[in-house]
Amino acid sequence: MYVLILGCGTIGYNLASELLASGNEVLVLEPDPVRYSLVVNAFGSIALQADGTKPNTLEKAGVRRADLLIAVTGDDSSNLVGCQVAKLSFNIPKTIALVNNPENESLFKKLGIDVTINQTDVILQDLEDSIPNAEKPSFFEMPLSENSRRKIFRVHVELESNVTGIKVNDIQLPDDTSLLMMMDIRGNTKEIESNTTIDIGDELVFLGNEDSIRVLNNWLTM
Amino acid sequence: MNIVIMGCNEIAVNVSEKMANQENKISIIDMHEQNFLIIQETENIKTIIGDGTDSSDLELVNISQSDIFIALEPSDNRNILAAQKVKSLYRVPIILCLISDSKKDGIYRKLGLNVISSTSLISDIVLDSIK
Repeated sequence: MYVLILGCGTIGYNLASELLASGNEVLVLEPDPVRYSLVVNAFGSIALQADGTKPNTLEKAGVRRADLLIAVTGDDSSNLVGCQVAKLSFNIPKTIALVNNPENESLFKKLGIDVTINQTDVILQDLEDSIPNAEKPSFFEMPLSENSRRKIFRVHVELESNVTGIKVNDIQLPDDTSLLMMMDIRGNTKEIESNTTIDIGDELVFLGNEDSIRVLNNWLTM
Repeated sequence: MNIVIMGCNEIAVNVSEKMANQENKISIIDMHEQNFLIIQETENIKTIIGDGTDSSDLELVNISQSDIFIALEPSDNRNILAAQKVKSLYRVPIILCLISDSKKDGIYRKLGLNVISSTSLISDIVLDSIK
């Protein structure tokens, strides 16, 4: 593939490195002299010191034969315009844009960018992954019907959960509560029998009320 | 009419001073306070420090109640982002967008933006006068 990368901050630099290593042809467009030199010193002459949002620059960069443009500057307006120009003026098959300001994500999609990467989402996801299990959204509930006290709720059995290995029979179901369904880590339904064991990654779906949710959730995610 | 201008430069000042009166209220939004040194705030001309490409700042100038939006910042790309955002999210009836790269202006005309092409305008004058 021939890939154009707009912007050579940390993301652009690492993308270039990865794409080159996997055998692609890469050209980085970066107007800033310091960032431009960083790429050239590391990877040889695979960069142009120029503004990649300009139609003339893109043409010089061979956008007409490029398969993909990835815009990863710190400025959303440059990322948007770079992708739009490549698409509308040169019919590039695919554009990917980094979104720095989360509110721009839906606008970018509406304006024809093929793939958007929302930096805030990525960081949040990373944070979520690094938070201990008890804090994670391993738990989900929804009312059976509007205004109903009865709710369906789902518990995801995490790695550190102390219920792994125990039998379904050993779950102390609060009053007015039933276990509806069990799924394993691959999403396959598990038969619920008294001796079925609870494994890591299982999902348990219950029907209950406000109180039973609290009790079961505390117990299952401990 | 309510007129919002993004970017406080000589054009913004000139347009504001000629248009502002009891009927036409102007709000100028610019990220850099020092750009407002060239303009005098009046009852009909307000200046707001903010980023005209950001919704929350656009709402400071009541963008959804506006009749005209004019993007006049020095960066083509910021003008293009703001104009498309205002067009798509706030449906302001008249939007003008300053673009200096003459290769870009055709692309955005085709997308339905009212482009003011400073380079084409001045080039045409130059070419006409040396014919």
